[in-house]
Amino acid sequence: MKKVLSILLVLSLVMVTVFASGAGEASTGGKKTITIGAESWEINKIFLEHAAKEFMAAHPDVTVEIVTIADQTKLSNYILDWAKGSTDVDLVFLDGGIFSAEYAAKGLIYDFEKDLNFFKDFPKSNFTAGSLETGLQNGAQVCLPAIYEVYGISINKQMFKEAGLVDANGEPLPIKTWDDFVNYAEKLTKKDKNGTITQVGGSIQFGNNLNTILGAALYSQFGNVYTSDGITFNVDNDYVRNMIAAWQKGIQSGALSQSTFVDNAGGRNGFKAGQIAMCYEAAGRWMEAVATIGAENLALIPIPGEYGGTICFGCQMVIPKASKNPDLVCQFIKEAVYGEYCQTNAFTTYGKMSVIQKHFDAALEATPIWKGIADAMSKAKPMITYEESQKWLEGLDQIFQSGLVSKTTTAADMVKQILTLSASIRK
Amino acid sequence: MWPVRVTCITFSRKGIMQNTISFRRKARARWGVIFVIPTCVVLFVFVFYPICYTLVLSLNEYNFAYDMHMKFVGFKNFLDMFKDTQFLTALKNTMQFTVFMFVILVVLALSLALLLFNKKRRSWFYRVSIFMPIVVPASLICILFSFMLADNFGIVNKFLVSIGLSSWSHNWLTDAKTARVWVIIVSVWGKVGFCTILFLSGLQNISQDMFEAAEIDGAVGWKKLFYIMIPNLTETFVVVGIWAILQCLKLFVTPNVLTKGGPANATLVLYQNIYNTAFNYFDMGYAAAQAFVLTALVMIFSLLNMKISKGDK
Repeated sequence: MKKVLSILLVLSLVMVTVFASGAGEASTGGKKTITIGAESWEINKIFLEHAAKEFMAAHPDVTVEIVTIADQTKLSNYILDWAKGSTDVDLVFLDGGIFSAEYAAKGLIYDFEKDLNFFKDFPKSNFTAGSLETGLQNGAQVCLPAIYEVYGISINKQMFKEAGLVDANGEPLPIKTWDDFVNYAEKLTKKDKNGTITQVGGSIQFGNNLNTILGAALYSQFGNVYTSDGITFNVDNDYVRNMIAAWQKGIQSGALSQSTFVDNAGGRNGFKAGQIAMCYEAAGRWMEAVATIGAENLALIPIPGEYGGTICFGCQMVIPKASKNPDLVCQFIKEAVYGEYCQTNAFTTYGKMSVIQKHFDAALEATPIWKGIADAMSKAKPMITYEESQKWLEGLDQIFQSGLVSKTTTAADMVKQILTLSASIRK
Repeated sequence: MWPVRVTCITFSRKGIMQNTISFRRKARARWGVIFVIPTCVVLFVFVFYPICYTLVLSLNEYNFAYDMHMKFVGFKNFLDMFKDTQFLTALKNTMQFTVFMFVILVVLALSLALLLFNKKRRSWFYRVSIFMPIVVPASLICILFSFMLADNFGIVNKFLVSIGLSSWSHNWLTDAKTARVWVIIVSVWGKVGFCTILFLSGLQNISQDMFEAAEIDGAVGWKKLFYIMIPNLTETFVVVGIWAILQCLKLFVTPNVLTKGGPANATLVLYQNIYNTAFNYFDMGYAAAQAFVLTALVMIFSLLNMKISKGDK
């Protein structure tokens, strides 16, 4: 009797398992399904749910599912899954090409050009200058940008007016050097009778974008981020030492905010809250402040430097080789992600710039403030992705966060530390 | 002959009985083994195998994003740790946090438990209030605190300014010293509820007769605390102590979300450093070696706690 009961128990468990696993497949019927993995901000700001609906309406035999990548650990897990030839996603959105280096190193993602022939019916001329290059890894198009961003300084015009830093037309005075930036920040900083700062002059992203912040400052001055070897940051010069010394002065006087040391959104949130007058970050930050400060009180100016360019970086898309539907995914990208709705709205609503030239031009007309950095945007270039990019980034954070507040560390010391760090990481 | 025969029959019956018992025992043992197998498999797959594999990893150099194969390096990873300033900073911070947090957590939890134990009216309200932070996700608590403590727009600084204490406003999270203090405060706030409940249940298990006898003998107030309550909470101290040590040494969410280990690694802890080494740098061998150091620390502190707590017995 016991034997019979135990056999029945085992059988029922097996049957439940079999039928439960079969249910999922049955519900999809003969439809093809593509699954997209993206962080929540990407789902919202690139309008991915709308893209999915649009694509499903045009292709009734296809189901598009979106799964949220809740944390970065998931991206590491993909390496393990994809290396075994399995995947639960067909398309992944990455917060920058920096995250694709690991996948590319092990050959786990498709080359859009060589493997998928993506540009055969979607020519490269469709893309804005420099945007496509943000998806290159060692010359291979392993990523495609969904949107891209450039750097600039967002300005609270009202605060500039109060500090007398405007020209005859009421427009902010240009910032030609980093000394100008810090001097302006000091003039824009307000203190109460106890000496407590009630309004901060400026903010620079000293958190997880420091790599590109530093790169954009170098590019804007020299027209190149790197030394003649093409890979080492060009920091061993007086220009950089003076720039770091100016930043150090600003931080120590309280004219520049330290909030980005621990909170990546600290600077932009302070800017949005009307507490910070200037914000050197991704240029789209001004758009986030429209609701609180008003478009009429906002301006966007280029990064100081003789060359006047900017670094660009993109939210990238990769297709794992483990995906069974790469061609369908490519079709989804061309029709939906690069469609007018996603590309235009991401730009006009969130300042995430379109990578498709015709949508870019249309959106630019609708938001004239962008014209403040039009020249810099036309010279936009992406940076190289190091193999040990995270080590580089965290090392930079530590050097700047400890050096900028230190009374004993000089800018020259910090440059030496950067060079030592640079020599120690795998590029 | 007769007695011999009887003996034989008796022996024979005993043998049959023994055989039957032995058969039943064997059958029961067989079923026992069958029922234990799933647990053993789970333990092997999720505990023993990962431990063994971590040991193997710790003796190898292996970046799982870039290296195709592991390279045996012996104890190099363990030796490298003591030259790695980032690891040493994380270790120092972890030890500091552990010492401060452990003391504050145990003292505060015991104090709150005593208050609740003696508070008869609306005790449910206080219990819910103290236990609430356990229910709220730690990451959410940290995000809320990061907004509250923000330099430029945080409610704490705004409040201080509004009541005329603007000189007290501060860069709470970007100043290394205050950032450490806030990591401890937020962590303790999030964990004290659980310890309080443990102490409270320990207090409630002490026989009422003992309290009454002590009161008759004139033991009230502090005497009751030191001679009745604390000696009877030894087992609870062991449990709370081990739990608190584990929580302190495995501190991760608070520094990771509240300060991201910054400013300039001022709040970087060992667990976070292991995570970064493994999942940001993909250096699995080095991360595994660090994980063994953390495990050793947990064991040393737990044994110390048990020895101190049970010392008198």
